[in-house]
Amino acid sequence: MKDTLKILLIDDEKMVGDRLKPALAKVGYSVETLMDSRKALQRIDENEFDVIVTDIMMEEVDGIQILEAAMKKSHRTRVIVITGYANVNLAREAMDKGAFDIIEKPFRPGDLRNVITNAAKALDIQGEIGYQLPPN
Amino acid sequence: MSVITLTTDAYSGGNILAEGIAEKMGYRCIGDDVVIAAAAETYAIDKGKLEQSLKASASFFNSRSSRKYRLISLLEAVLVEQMCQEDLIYHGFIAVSRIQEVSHAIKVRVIANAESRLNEVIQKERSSGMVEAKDRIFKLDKERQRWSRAIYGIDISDSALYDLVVNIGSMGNEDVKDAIETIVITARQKKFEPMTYSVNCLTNITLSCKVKAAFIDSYPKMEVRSDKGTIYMLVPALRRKNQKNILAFKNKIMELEGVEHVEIYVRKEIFDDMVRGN
Repeated sequence: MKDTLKILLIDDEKMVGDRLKPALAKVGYSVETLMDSRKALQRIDENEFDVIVTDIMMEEVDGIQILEAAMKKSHRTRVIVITGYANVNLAREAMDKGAFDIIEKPFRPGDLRNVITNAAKALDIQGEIGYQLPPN
Repeated sequence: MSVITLTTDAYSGGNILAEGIAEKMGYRCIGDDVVIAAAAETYAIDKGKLEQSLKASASFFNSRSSRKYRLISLLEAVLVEQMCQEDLIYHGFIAVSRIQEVSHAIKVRVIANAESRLNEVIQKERSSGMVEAKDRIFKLDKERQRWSRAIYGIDISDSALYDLVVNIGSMGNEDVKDAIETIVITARQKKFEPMTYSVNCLTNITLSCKVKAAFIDSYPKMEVRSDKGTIYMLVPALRRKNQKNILAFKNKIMELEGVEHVEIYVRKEIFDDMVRGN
C-alpha cells in the first residue's frame, strides 16, 4: 500500500488555494491549504509534510521564514516557492536555504503538478517512502 | 543546464582555467571561437565578419550602420541556446550582461598580475620586450572596454557584474589549481542550481535572442522580450508601407520554434510628435 503525498499549500490569496487544491487533489494528493502564514508555521511544527508549496510575499510571516521553519523541522520536506516577485537574489536565497524549486507566478496548475511530481520522485529515490505518483 | 561564464582580460590564463574547471565539473567548455563557428554555420555568415564584430576598431564603432549589433545578435543567439542545452563553461564576454537575471549562471571574472600578463605576451607573441608587451596589453584592455560599453553599455571590468572575482596571481601551476578549486567550490553551492524559474529566464532570453537575430535586418532598432512563448516586440514608428505588412511580419515570427504569441508595440518618436505639433 503506497502512501499519499501530503502537501501543505500556503498563499494569502484565496484564489490561489481555491484553484490549485482541486488540481492537485484530482491526481491523488492530500492537500491542506492555509492563507494565514502564522498558522502555517504552527502546522509545520505539528506535522511533517512531504511537500510545502509557499508564496513569498505574505504579511507577518513571509515565505522565506516558512522555508526556514520547514527545513528546521525536517530536511526531507520538499519546499516549492511560488512568487510573483522572483528575481536572481530571491531565487538564490531560497535555494541556499533549501528550497526544492521556485516557480514564478502566474503559472498553470500543470506546471506546479510537474514540479510536485519531481519532488515526489526525489523523495522516492531516497528510499524513504513509496509514493503513488499521478498518471502522466 | 548549469552555466559558468568566465571573463578574463587577455593573457590572463583564461583558457587553461576554463578547461580545468570544465574537466573537474564534467561540463562542456566553449570559447568565442566555438560560438563564432556555430553562428557562421547557423546563419550562413562569414566567420571573419563575426570575429571582427568582437573587436572594437575605431571605424567599426564609428560606423552608423547596424552591422555590429546584427553580428553580435547572431553570436548571442547561438551562445544562449547552447547554455540552454547542456552544462557549460563559456570563456568570453558575449552576453554576460544579458544573463544577469539567470540565477544558475555563475558569472566569474578572473584577473592576473600585470607582470605575469606581460610575460605571457612576451612568450606567446615573441614580443621584443616589455614596452611592446605593455602597449599590446594596454591596447587590448582598452579595446574590450570600448566594445562592452558600445554594445552593452557596461564596463566589463566592473566587479558588480560578477558573482565571483578571482585573482589568479602570477598564473603559476599552484595559482591556477587554487583558482580552479575556488570556482568549482562556488559553482557547487546549492544556490547556483538550475530551477524552474532560472531555466525559464534563460529560455526567455534565448527566444528573445533568436527572434532578434532573425529579424534585426528588417528592424535594427527593435527591442525584444519574451515570456513563456509570448514575444513582445518594441519597434520604432513604422513607415506606412511597413504598417500594412505588420500581420505578415507577425506570422513570420510565429514560424520560429517556441513562439506561441506575438505582440508588437510601436515606439512613438518624440521628434515625430514635435513635427506634428502634438
